[in-house]
Amino acid sequence: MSGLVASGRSRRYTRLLPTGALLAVLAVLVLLPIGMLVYASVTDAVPRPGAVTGALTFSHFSELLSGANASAAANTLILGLAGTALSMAIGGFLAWAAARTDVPGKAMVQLSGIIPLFVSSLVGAVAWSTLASPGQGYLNIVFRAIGVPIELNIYTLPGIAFVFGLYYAPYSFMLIYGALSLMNPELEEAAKVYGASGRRTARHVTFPLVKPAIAASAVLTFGLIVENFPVPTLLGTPGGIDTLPSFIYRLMNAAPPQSNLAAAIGVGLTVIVLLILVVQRRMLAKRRYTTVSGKGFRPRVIELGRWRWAVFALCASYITLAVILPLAALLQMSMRSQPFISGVGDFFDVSVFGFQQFTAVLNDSTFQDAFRNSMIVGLLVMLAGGVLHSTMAFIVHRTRLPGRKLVEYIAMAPLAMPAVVLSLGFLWAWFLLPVPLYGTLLILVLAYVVRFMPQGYSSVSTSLQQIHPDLEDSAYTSGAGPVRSATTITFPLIRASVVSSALMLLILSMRELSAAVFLFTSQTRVLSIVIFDYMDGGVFARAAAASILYSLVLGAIALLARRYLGVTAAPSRGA
Amino acid sequence: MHVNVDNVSVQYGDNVAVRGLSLEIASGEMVVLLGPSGCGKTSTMRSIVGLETPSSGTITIGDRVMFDKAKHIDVPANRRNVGMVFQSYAIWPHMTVAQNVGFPLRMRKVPKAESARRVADALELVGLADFGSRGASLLSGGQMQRVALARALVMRPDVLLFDEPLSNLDAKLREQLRDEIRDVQQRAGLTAVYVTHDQGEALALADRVAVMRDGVIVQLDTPERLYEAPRNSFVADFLGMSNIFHGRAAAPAPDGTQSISLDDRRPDVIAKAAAPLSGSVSLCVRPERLRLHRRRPDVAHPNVWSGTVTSLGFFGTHTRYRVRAAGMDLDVVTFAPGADLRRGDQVHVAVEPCDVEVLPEVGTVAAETEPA
Repeated sequence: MSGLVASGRSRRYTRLLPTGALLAVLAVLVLLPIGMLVYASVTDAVPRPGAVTGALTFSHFSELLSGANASAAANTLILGLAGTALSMAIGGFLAWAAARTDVPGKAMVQLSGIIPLFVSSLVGAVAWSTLASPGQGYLNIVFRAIGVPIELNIYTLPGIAFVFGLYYAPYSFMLIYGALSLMNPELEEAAKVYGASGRRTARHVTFPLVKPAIAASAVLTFGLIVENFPVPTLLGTPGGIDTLPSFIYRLMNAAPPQSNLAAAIGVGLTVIVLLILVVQRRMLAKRRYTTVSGKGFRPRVIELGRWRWAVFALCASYITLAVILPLAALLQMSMRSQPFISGVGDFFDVSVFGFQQFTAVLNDSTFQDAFRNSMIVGLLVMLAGGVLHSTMAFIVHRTRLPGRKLVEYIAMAPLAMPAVVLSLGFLWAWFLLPVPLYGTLLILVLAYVVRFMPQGYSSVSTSLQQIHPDLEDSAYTSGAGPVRSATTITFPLIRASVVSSALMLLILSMRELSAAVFLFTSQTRVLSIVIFDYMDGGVFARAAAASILYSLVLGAIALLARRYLGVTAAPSRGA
Repeated sequence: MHVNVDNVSVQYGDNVAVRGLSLEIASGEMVVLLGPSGCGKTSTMRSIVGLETPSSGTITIGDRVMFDKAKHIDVPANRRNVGMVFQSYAIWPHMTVAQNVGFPLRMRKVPKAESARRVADALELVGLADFGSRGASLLSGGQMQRVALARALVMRPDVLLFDEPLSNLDAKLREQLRDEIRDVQQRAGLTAVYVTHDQGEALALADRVAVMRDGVIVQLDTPERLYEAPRNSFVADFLGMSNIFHGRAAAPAPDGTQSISLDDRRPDVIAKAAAPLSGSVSLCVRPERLRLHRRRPDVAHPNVWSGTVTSLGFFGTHTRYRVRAAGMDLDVVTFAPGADLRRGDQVHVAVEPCDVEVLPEVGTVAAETEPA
């Protein structure tokens, strides 16, 4: 049990206090933005500072499936399906190769399944527009030079789906790799003993056991792609392709802004994501029979024979497309003093190389401010999120306080809120509240704390659930009160995971763009916003240089986290 | 210290785990709560230590009222001075062995020097004298359970509780540790409650055993009495007795014998019970009370059935036979070596009427609960 134990009659009231206070905070942070969004979607006016006005109307919803909305919705669906299919194919193949074959350089193959996570999809989009824009795209220049009659155009639906496929493959990889490598090999050995060939073992035993992981990763990937904002915005705009998130952004930036319609689309998008989550929940509930025992098994390895190097080549080409080529392109773009390239030879013309773009970016006060802002926001999110998410997890899993079930529901609610929509809801919520937070970094901090609440909460929850309640109960029977047992037993046991979850929050915050799009002002830009602005303003070389610096910062933090805390858990959402 | 559990119920939502249970434990006594999973034994024990909040009743340890629903008294677990040894050992992995054992003393603000001495004594007692500075996560299961025992002993608890402490250990270690637990408990004169579903463990450890089912105590007795006179077929079955059959008892004849009919396909069994029952009953014949004969016994014998040996096993001290006779599958144990029977041999099975126990069927007894 380990509830907060107190004797006497006063207990009833003191018990209401902790959850009551927490729920009040969560209501303002999570529920109010959702409420404001719904409110804006059914009225004809926008929330203004301190006042809620407007007449009730459902006309925005009737516009949802007409004209530009309909095509944005269709694009969202197409990109979601195509991107998911591609990323599943890539991730599944890599997982199989790394977990079950004797492919050369296994450790490298495994790493290549994860590394692209650290290239944010924003940077990926910037890089691929350098590589495969029609005409001057670097790959097109190379193709022309070697006589390949192909003209790549990344600003198309297949192009955008391709970029999604590349950068969301790691999610499928992680889930499927986990299922494949943790499966008890005796299950497959038993199939062999009872007469199944390798192929039939795979079909009747291995595949059915991995199926839940495959299905879960498909649903997860689809949800992430559907809500992604930077990729369709940066790559779709030149070709006039909108998805729902990018369309919301354009509506809000139109003159005058069509806020109510944007809100209605936001509600629609939220409903879609919510449905996906329901499907995912059901799948996970059925997943109980999985054979994952957490024991270190040595899974059965398939000998590839002469196919070894072919498989290796496929794995290597993925990491080339997802990481090496993009970074090389960004470097090329940012080092050139002269952007025009007439032929392949120009790539190697050292005379035009220089660090002008980097110095320009580093000396740009906008970039400097953004760097400082990103660090401040990241650290504050790490602190505030670490405390808030851990407190929530503790109350839900380690007390019997009334209202704790509600805390759990609210903790997971932001999962259903696409980041752009969350940003919109936050904007209006803090218009309404009599606290002048808009225009400060604090509103970004709060938005990020909410955005990453599901991840922060579940990572602390998982580690709390792994602590056997007997460990705390035995502290009680040994004479420790609730506070002492928390400080001497529970906290020391989860400290490592709280710290690693806080570091994950730092990395996620530094990467985040979408949740900030409606909340920043010229005083409170963060790094991702600055890169986005460079791209939007057409200064590609500067965007490339900033992307490289940005990736270096992210990489450094990830490395430090890994080095000092063994944190390998990759960030699981966000752009 | 004397423990009194009075009319305690434990409820989880609509599910009642313990129903108005009463139990008195004398100072220095070891009571074993025995029963299948879900019978309420663990909930009862956790109510005594204060990890579970009963929905009604009172619990007193010594002179202190620990729990009284009516008076809103609920002393938290950390102030009850009740020690507990957990099934999962519950050894804190981030502390050394000595830190684990010393934890209760740290909570009681015992001075360092005295604490160190008492920890050393406790570790000595459980045979881990040299293990104090080891990390607790590096121990084997048996060692962990010894540390858990030392941690419970070091606080000099008023009552010591054991929650299936041996169920995660292998058979040999289990017996060894079981005897050590009994030894330590008796030497220290500790009042103890021990929860298990293993009847052998219960009989070997207990001063008294409480057999539980569906949240109530079905029978509370010394191990000997329990084994000799199980209160009903559930107790007999749970204590591992075989040869239990359901039947209907006829009214006893003047000489005290009565005939019990099983069904149409099987012969009646003649019993002679001290306190005869009638109507729906269970009858139980202990394997060692059955006799095997190669030839039909000459004497006029009421219960002789011919049958076939279907399987047998030699256990060193005794041999166990499975005999199919008169539509019954009977377990028979003989201690005489050299019976020289084989599978498929024809035999005659005999039992004296006074060795046929007649027990109430479960659920037909008006009051299943043992009065406290």
